[in-house]
This record gives sequence, structure tokens and C-alpha cells, in this order.
Amino acid sequence: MQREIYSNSNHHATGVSEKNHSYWLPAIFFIFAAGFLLFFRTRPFFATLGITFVSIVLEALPFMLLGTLIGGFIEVFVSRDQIIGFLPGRQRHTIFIAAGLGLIFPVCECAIVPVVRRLVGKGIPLGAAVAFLLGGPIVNPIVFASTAVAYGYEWKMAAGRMMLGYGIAVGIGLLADLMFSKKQAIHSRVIAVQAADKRRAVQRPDTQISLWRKSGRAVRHASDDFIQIGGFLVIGAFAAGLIQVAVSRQDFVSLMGTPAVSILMMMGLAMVLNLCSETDAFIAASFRFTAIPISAQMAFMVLGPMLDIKLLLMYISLFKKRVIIVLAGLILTAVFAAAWILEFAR
Amino acid sequence: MMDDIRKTFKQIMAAGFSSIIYIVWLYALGWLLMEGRYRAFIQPKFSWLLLLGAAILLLYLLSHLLRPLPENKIRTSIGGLARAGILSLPLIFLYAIYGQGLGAHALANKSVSGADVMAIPGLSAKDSKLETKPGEPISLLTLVRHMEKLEGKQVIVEGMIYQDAVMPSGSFLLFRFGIYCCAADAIPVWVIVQGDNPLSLPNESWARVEGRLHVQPHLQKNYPVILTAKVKELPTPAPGGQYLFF
Repeated sequence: MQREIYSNSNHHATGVSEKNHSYWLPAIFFIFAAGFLLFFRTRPFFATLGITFVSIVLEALPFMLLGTLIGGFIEVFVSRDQIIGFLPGRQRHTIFIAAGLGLIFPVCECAIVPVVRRLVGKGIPLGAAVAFLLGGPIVNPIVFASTAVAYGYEWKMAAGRMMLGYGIAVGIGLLADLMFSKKQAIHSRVIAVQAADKRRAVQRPDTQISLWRKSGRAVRHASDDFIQIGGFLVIGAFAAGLIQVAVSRQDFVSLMGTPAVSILMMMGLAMVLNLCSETDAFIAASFRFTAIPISAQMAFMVLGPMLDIKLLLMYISLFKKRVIIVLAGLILTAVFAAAWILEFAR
Repeated sequence: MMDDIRKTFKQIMAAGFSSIIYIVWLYALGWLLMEGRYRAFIQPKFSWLLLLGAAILLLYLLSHLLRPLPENKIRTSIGGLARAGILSLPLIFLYAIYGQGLGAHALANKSVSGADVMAIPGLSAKDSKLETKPGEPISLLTLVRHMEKLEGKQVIVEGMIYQDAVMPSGSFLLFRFGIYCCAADAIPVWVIVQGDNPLSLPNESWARVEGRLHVQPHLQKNYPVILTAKVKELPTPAPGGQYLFF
């Protein structure tokens, strides 16, 4: 009976349903990457590609593992009722809180996707999930400190980044709430955890399960999540390495003529570089002495933690494709508009 | 004893590809951490992150091995194989590129119009101390940070050589890469060298350069130039020793 409960809940929680899954993306990607290894191994760019790819994975992997572990413990130790009870009565108010949750729960963008997957499964509203997903990796004390240090303790820059990140996260959270229902936006296998949660509570109340067993179950959920999402990180990191090799930083910079083009190019660079939100300010700051305006540097720092190639692929594990396209469009538009306003407000 | 081994083996097989992936990743992280090989990819300050990652992977491996058997049958399917293949790809690349570091290709790829040198943290701040010992090399980072203080003095630095067709025969760049977090964010750190004799070393050779430092202003920026330099070839350091860390 106990085995049945574990099996059931796990199946629904992580979507380990082989029949319903498509493996074309991993298969094509694996063949493509292996082909690269076979045919281009001796070319000068291969070392740059390989080192960039492996570095991004090594840097992001611990955060992602931590994110899945936290998600696993949320899954087992926090019930849906507790989450609902914690949220304010009005759904829209939740969005304003969720966008700033990173201040007390600082996570970078690699760790946040598995955490949000679990929170969504536990009943957190769609708008709040989007707001936390986008705001969490920017509105947090570690990112604030790293931005301030990178810009030689220019507090305005750090505070501006927080405020823009928060504003955009709230705005897109509200829009997502208006445009989609949770069922329309989120994969059914992620939402299915709610049903599994209720069923498990009926079959065997949590109070009857020892802490040790519950912890074991949390780790099992976490490891399943890692196997599910880890591949997206690898594919994203490889794509980032490939684009970094194909397009040099100088190519990006040389295309920057007007502020608008500079903002767009820096947004493109943020998507390509796939940097961690806790260190990307150092790269943004490296453009201080070029002709790139502050507004474009800000766009780079705000967009990167919300949307880059690696994240785009990781979002596939949470959102339906149509929603990812809409969210990507909203994020790009909002960041561009915010940077554009900043450029003329200076 | 044999029974125990057989039982463990059965459990590993039953746990499927996921467990194999955890084991291989654990081995790779251990290999990287044991002798500091991770320095070829990430900032040493973040080595604890890899340790944390290894601890969590170990936890996941144990959870897979101790999992009830019927559930594990799922993981030996084609889907499991596909996921295992993708998750093993960084390790295959790690094996393929280990021993190599970022070189001339990355210099061209990651450089931004000579602004790299201006981007070094602490360049304008007064918080980094200049410590030099006569006859000993200083790091390229120290040289760039303190070029004004070092102007006119004899300096020794080590790095990689890059010379292109438009440079005069004795002139070249001596460069290394500075890393904040991981090699993906590497920034080239370089000095222009004007040697006494035509350069006989190929690009990406490691060399020790000794000469007098001159600060050359150009378009409102200052650039370090080593004049009348003597160049001595060095063996290529291990990849972990090639980078400078901010």
C-alpha cells in the first residue's frame, strides 16, 4: 500500500509518463552535439565552445540541484492548504508579494524553475508563479550586492535594477493572470500534483508518516525533477556556447549605433551569454567604458535573469509552448520599453 | 560478500540510467575537485558549490538505489536512455577538451574594442595594493590595475602570445583571461609588447616578458605597453593555472 502511494504520487508529480513524452528534442540535440564533437574537434573554436559549455553547466548545476531539492521538500512538507493559507485573500495581491519573495528567499534563475514547478503544483496562482519566476532572480540581496560591487558601489544602479526587475515581474504576472487560466498555461502533469496531494492526504495523512520517510520521499521527488529538467539546462548551455562562438562580443558591440539598437543588442547578448544573475553585473559593468549607454547595460541585467536560451528551454518543463511565446514577447517588450524610458529619463 | 555485491549490482541496474548518470557525475565532480582541475572552468571561490552539488547528487543516487524496485523499471526505458545521454554530454565534452584552455580564438571572440583592459574591477578603485618583488613576475591583472604607478619601471609578466599580420614583427599582445564566475564570462586581460627582436614564437605559446612599462593614451583611455622587451618561452601551464581570477 505504501509503495503504491509513493508510486502514484511520484508519477503524477513529475510526469514520468513515458508514453506521453516526446524525445525528439533530446535525440536530435544529442546527435547534433555528438556530430560537433566528431567533426569539429580539431578546429580552433572547439576548445572555446567546449570550455564555455562545460563551464556554464558546472556553474549552474549546483544551483539547479539545490532548486530541485528545495522543490522536493516543498512537495512533501508543505501542503496545498498551507500554501493557500499563506497567500492573501485576493489573488492579485499575491503577485505583488511573489515578485519580491527573492528578498527573503534568494534564488538564482537556475534554481527557481524547479521550485516554481512545485509551488504551481501546490496551488500558487499563475500570476504569482510568473512574478516569482521573473522577479526572484533579480529582486534579491545577493544580486543587489553583486550589482553594487560591479559598478563600484553605485547604489543607484543596484537599486534601479531591483526596481525595474520588480516592476516588470509584477506587470507580467498581472498580464499572465488576465490572459491565461492555470490550466491553459501550465502542463497538466505539473498541475496534477494537486490531485495527487489530495489523494495522498486521504489515503494516508502526513501525520502518520515519519519525518525520515517524508524526507526520503522529498529526495525522491527532487531527483526525479532533476532528471526531468537537467536536460534542458544542458541543451541551453550548449546552445549558449555555440552562439558565443558564432557571434563575437565585438560583433554585438559594433552593431550598436543608436540607444535603441544598443538596448536591443545588449538584450540579445544577455540571452546568448546565459550568465548567472549573481554575476552578470560584472559583465554588464565591463561595457561601462564603451559607447554602450547605461540603459542598454540595465536591459542586459534585467533581461538575462528572466529570459535567456537556457531558461527558455527550462520553461518548457513548466509552461505550454504558446504561453512561453507570449511570456517571451511580454518580457522582451517590457524590458525594451523600460530601458528606453530610462534612456530618455536620464 | 558476493551476495552483497550481486545485490548492490542488481539494485544499480534496477535503478537504471539515472543512477549511472549520478555515479558518473559524482566521479567527474570528485575528479575535478581533488586536484583543483575545476579551476579550468570556474572561479576557485565557488569550489564549495561543486562540493554542494556532489553532496546532493550522492543523496539522489542513494534515493534511487533504495527506491522500491517496480518503480525503477520505468527508468530503464528509452526515455531514461535519452535523458541519460543528454545529461552525460557535458562529461563527454569535458573529456574531449580537458587539457586545453581558452586561447587566441577566445581572445578574438571575447574582446571588445580594447575596452577589456578598462573593465578590470578595481582599476579605478584604490582598494587593491601593489606588491612587487624585484626579479619576480607580477600578474597581468596587477600590471593593468597599477599601470600608472608602474610606468617607467622594469616589469616581468607571463601570459600567452598573440600576433596578427598587421602588427610589426617584434610587437604582439601578451594576454590571459580573467574570470569572475566561470569561463563563459572570461574577459581578456592583455598588454602590448614591443620587443627588440622579431618574434620567433607561435601564437598561444606561453612566455615570460621583461621590459619597461609605458602607458600609452589613446582615445581617452590608457593602455599598457612593455617596451624593449625580452621574451622567454615558458612551458604551457595546466588549464587550471592559466586563468586569472577576479
